[in-house]
Parts: sequence; structure tokens; C-alpha cells
Amino acid sequence: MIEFANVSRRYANGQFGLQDINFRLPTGRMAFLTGHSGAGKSTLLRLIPALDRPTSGKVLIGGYDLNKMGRHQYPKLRRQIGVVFQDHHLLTDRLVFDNVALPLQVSGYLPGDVRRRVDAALDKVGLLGRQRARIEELSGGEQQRVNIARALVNRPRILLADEPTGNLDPDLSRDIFDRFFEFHAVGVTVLIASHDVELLKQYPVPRIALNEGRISAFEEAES
Amino acid sequence: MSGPTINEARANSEKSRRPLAAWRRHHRQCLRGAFSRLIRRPVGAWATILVLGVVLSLPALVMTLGHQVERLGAIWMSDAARMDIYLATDADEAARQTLRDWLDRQATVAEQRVIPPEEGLEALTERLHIDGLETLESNPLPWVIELTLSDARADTRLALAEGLREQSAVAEFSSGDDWIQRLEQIRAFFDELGWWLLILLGMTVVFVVGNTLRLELHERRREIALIALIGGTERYMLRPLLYDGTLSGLLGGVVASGLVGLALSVTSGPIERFAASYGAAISPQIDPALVLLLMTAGALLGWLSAQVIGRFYIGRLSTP
Ligand SMILES: Nc1ncnc2c1ncn2[C@@H]1O[C@H](COP(=O)(O)OP(=O)(O)OP(=O)(O)O)[C@@H](O)[C@H]1O
Ligand SMILES: [Mg+2]
Repeated sequence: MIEFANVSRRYANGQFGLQDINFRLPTGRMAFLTGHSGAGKSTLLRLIPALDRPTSGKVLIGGYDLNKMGRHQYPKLRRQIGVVFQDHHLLTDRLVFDNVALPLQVSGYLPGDVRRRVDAALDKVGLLGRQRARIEELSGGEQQRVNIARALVNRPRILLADEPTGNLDPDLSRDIFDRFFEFHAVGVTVLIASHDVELLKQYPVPRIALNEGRISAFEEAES
Repeated sequence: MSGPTINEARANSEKSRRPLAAWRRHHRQCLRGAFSRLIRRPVGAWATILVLGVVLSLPALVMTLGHQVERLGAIWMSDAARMDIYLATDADEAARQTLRDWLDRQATVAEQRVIPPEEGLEALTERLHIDGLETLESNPLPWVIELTLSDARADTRLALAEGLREQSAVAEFSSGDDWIQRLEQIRAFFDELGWWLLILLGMTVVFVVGNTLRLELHERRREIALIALIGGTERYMLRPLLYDGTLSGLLGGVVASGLVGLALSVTSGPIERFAASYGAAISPQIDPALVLLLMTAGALLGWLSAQVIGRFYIGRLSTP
């Protein structure tokens, strides 16, 4: 479960990234996060794996208050959260395989398991044949899919995606969203930031709309 | 992903996680990585190791110098393992015999030779090249017993001196032990100086290794930041660095040992000749304990450096 209670994030320059955010996403649920550019979507997502801290208010993950969590507890939290970063954070001089394998190696899997899981994750994003390619040899869309595969590979309890289909054509975007939806169907909590309104409409998923750092609307799933 | 429920998937996931085996594997990987980085980036890495070697060799050279002084001093002092006892003027034949018997019983006395005053006067005359001393009305010289001691150590001499003070027939004896004590003090001084230098220069080592590691951290900063984002622990990020630092330090210790060995072999000629002139044979060689000390100190300092620099930079790279 993800819960935000009166969360604000004010940047050093005085600008508010988020202001008084309250919402709750129960375990196994899925939601979309929408809003204009600069509305605070990335700011909100970064608070969940404690990549950033709120200036006030509480973020609770699975009932744990992140404010009360010490630095040494972050790794454990982050291993349970898969993140598709808006800015890829891929190691461009490394192979596709190495990039996707990293979360597994970091959490203590042996090479055999790593290989199997990396294969499975790359298969899900349609890049099975590209393991040995270097990231810099891939197109923008392909890099984005590696980014997605890396978030899925650990079978996280929570999946966060920040503009995951920014570089993808409509067919591929749909395909990726189907994957996320499948994850949600097997019990993973999923939160996706996107402003691809047409695409979002196709899924029976509630939407949290942000506007200038505040929640402007909470729309229940259509259909 | 169809079929398995989330719980099955999670159970599977937990089963295939092998933290201990993976931890061992990561250690092996980091060790191999440290070696391969050394081979891949030879200039910078080896320059650091060379600097370490030179820095560490300084205290080692001082300590070695101390040991050589000790060994050469012992040879030199073997000549000085002697003591002259001057008897009291009122000591008669019986008193002299009592003293000689007592000396015979001392384990520290190897040999004794009695020099009567007449013989002493003759020797003195000869040595000073003066005539007419025979004409002196009475011989002013006392009876002398010349001792050869079992060894040249200061304690031996001190123990004997204590006994001698109790003997009534003894008026005076040449102590000579201040020379030996001085030599021992010199060696102790060199040893202490060596340790202080090691500590002082050890800090230099921490900075030299630290600077190289900092460059490496800078090169890998994106990877480290990413590992932090996906849940890598600080230890995991630190591990390769610890291996790099320890390996550099260890090799620095090896280079330092080599330098000390080189210095010894260059000076071995004069040292051997000196020893030979006293009928002794020594070939100066680096003390294995010193090699061990240098390698241990190098490795420890390298490791320490990686801890300090690593924790500082990784902390900065991985906090939001
Ligand atoms: N490090 C920062 N320092 C100062 N202001 C920041 C910082 N990061 C974000 N902001 C500001 O906070 C606001 C929210 O940014 P955020 O990145 O969350 O927007 P977003 O909804 O993700 O936008 P986009 O759709 O363009 O990615 C923006 O106005 C932005 O300028
Ligand atoms: Mg954003």
C-alpha cells in the first residue's frame, strides 16, 4: 500500500514541487498519475522509493513511515520497488544484459537465475535478441524498453513508471501498458505517470490528476 | 506473465535468491576486477603503487639501518668483550687468589690473565716510548686482571660489575659498558624513528591511495548512483573499492620491500668487508618480518583509505 498524508515537497529555490498531497493506493491496485508538464508527477514518484524526501507530511509504504526509516533501510525498500525512470539512468557503455541484470546482482541472485530472469524480462519488452548490444547502439525507444525491462526483472511488489512510453509508437505503447496491467492483475501495486490521454482511456484504471503540485481531481475508472 | 499467482512468483523469487553464495561471488568478482583494472589502466595505478613503495621504503630503510648498526656493533663489540680489573694496593697474594677463584666461578668470564705491575710498567714504557720509568723508586701501577667476557652484551657486563663491587680486592674496573648501551640506544632510536615515520608516512599513503580511488569513483559515479537507486547497499558499492585499495597497498609494500632489498645489496660490499675485517661473515639481507610488516601495513593503509574515501563519496553520490 502506498499512502501520502499531507505531503509537500518544496525545492531549495522556494518552488513547490508538491503541495499537500493526500491519497492512498491499496496493495495490488493500479493508478495513473496525470498532469501537465511540471505538475509534479516525477516529484511524487521519487518520494516512494525514498529517492527524495518530503519537506513535510508523511509517505507510508506497506504501513512503514519513510520519515522514520534510516538510510541503511533504503536498499531493502528500493529492491521491492521497480522504477521506470523518466531519464533512463542506463549505463550507456554497457551491454543491454548488464543493465537489466544489475538489480538482480545487487539483491543477491546467482548467474543462472540472473540469466533466466533477464531473458524473461527482455522477452516481455520484445528485446530478447539484443542482450549483447551496447545501450548506445540502441534507438531511443529500444533504450526505453531496456529501462522497462530493468524495472520488471526483480518482480517488484510495487511498480512505478514515469512517462514509460514517451519514445514509443502507439502499438508498442499499448503493448507495454498491457504488460503493466498484467502485473497489476497478479497483485503488484502499479502507479504510472503519463500524459498520453488517449492511451490511458483504454484501461479501466483510476486517475490521480496533478495540477501545479496539487491533486486537482481523483477520477474513478471509466467503463 | 500468466499462470503463477503473485505468491508463487514471490516464493520462487525468494528461493532463487542466494545472498551468501552471491556475496562470496561478489567478493571473487571484486578481486578479479581489482586485478583487471590494474592491467587495464597500468600507468595511473602503477604510478600510485610506485609512490607507495617509495614512501613505505623510507621507514623500512631506517629500521634496516638500525638493525645493521646493531649487527655491526655486535661484531665490533666482540673486540670489546673485555674488562680490566685494577686491584687494590693492599691486596696481598691470598686476596688475589680469592678473587681469581671467584672469577673462575663466574659463567660470564671466559678467560682471565693476571698482569703484575712490572709487566704493566714494561708495556706502558713500550707504548709511550719513554725511557727511565724503570728508575722509579716504586712501581706506581697496581696488579691488573684482564678479563675476556663470554659475550659483549651490556647485561653480562652489568651483572659482573655488580659482583665485582662486593670484592674487597678490587679497587676499580673499566666499565666500558656505556659504549654498548649507547649502541643499543642508537638501535632503539632507529627502530622508534622507523615506526614514527611509518605512522606519519602512513597518512601520506592514505591520501595517495585515496586520490587514485577518488578518480576511479568519479569515473564510476553514474554506476554508483544507479546502484543506489535500485537498492544496492553501501557495502556493495564500497566492495570493489576496498579490493582496489588493499591490492594497491599490498603491492606498494612489495615494491617497498624490493627497494629496501636493493639498497641492502648495493651496500652489501662495504658491510661484508667490515665484518670480514673482524673475522665475521654476514651477508646483509632483508628481514622477512620486515617484508611482512611492509605488506601488512600497505594493505591495511590501502583498505583504510578505501573505507574513508569510499564512504565519503558513496554517501554523497547515493543520497538524494
Ligand atoms: N531539483 C529541482 N529544483 C527546483 N525545482 C524543481 C526541481 N525538480 C523539479 N522542480 C520543479 O518542480 C515542479 C515539478 O517538477 P516535476 O519534475 O515533478 O514535473 P513533472 O510533472 O514530472 O513534469 P514532466 O511531465 O515534464 O516530467 C516543476 O515546476 C519543476 O520545475
Ligand atoms: Mg517528470
